[in-house]
Amino acid sequence: MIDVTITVNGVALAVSVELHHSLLDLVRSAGYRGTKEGCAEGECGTCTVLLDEDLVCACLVPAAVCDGSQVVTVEGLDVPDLAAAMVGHGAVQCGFCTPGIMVTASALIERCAASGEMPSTTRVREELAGNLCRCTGYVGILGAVAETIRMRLDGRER
Amino acid sequence: MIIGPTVPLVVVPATEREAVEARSADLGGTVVAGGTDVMVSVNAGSTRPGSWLSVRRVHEWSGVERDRERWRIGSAVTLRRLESAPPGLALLAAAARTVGSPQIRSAATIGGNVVNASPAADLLPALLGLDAEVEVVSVRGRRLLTLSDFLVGPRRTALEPDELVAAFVVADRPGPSSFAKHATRSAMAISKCSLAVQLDDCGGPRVSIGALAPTARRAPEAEWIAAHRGGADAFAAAVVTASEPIDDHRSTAAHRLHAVAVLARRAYQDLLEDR
Repeated sequence: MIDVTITVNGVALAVSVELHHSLLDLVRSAGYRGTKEGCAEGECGTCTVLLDEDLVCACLVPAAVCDGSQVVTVEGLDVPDLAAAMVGHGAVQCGFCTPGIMVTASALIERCAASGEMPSTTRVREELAGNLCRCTGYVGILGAVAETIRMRLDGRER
Repeated sequence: MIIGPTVPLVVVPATEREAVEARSADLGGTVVAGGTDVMVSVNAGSTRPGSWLSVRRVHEWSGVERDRERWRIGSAVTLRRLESAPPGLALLAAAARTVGSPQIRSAATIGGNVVNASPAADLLPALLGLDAEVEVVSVRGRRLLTLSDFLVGPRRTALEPDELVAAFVVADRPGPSSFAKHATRSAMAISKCSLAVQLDDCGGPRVSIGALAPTARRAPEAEWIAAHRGGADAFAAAVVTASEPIDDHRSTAAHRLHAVAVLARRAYQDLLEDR
């Protein structure tokens, strides 16, 4: 076992991991079960987290090399506007992809809020290309994300 | 019984010296950069790492720097960073944009893409178009190989067991270029075939193909036709001649040849007609 010290959602944790464990195994065994395993090969995006501010698939990061890192999972997000927009647009059906979508979308929303730029529909689709949803057909998800960005840029609340 | 010195199970070196020393002390260890290839295999149970050497944080390998007429791109530079590379690296930036998803590109590195040496690796045709050399380092010293010499076969490279890839030295080519790939869908799909074309005033055009031979390779006859404006059909035929595709789970040889001819005609029309 390898000892790893890692900060998840602002909480410093000391955990022991095996060499073959991924960051996904680590966050789930630490109790952050919002992060899901879908494919375990980086195709589906349900395990998306922020690792040292980079958007990554947690299933593709060896847990053992994460000593000293900062991780944000869906539980660590503070995006009530995006959550409300997702509900309003019917962007959640079975909900399995939703945590990953929320992490990816919130990273995009933060970047757009910082730059003040409204992304094109194509750009939003490209940014969300790594998160598969097998229920909704994406229309609601794309609408919720675009609406949240628009409202942030306009300084409005939903 | 001889008990050797204990080797640490996880090494995350901050410097090149530490990295090459760690490699030479533990030749059987699994080298990981972004993890996007090796962890797929670990998760499937086909790779069981005995130790990890993470090269992600080696600071000498993390920069994109101009050195006179060439660029030196550290092996730990992510695809996400290459997406916004300077104009002289536009072909590489275009190839990087087509790989995986934002999540994959923010973890995956140029070093990992090249060292895995998948015949379908998207950065390889682009790097060939920039006359890339591979800077390889070990405790024994440093050497520079052309990318063509580095790529030995499918998933096989000229890297010795104690060597690590430090950087890529590539040409600055701000001239017109195009990278095109054909895959099952436009995002998150591995190439069935790919084509990189780089025009340049000095040295002539570069045309290279991916997923069409045991390694990515140049198509010399197509380069000659591009240089002499021989027409889109002749250009496409020459690209097909350079290809030796196989049937596999991703496509068939016949479909790959058909598709690359389409990519070639489009690239020729976009880059070479009306110029």
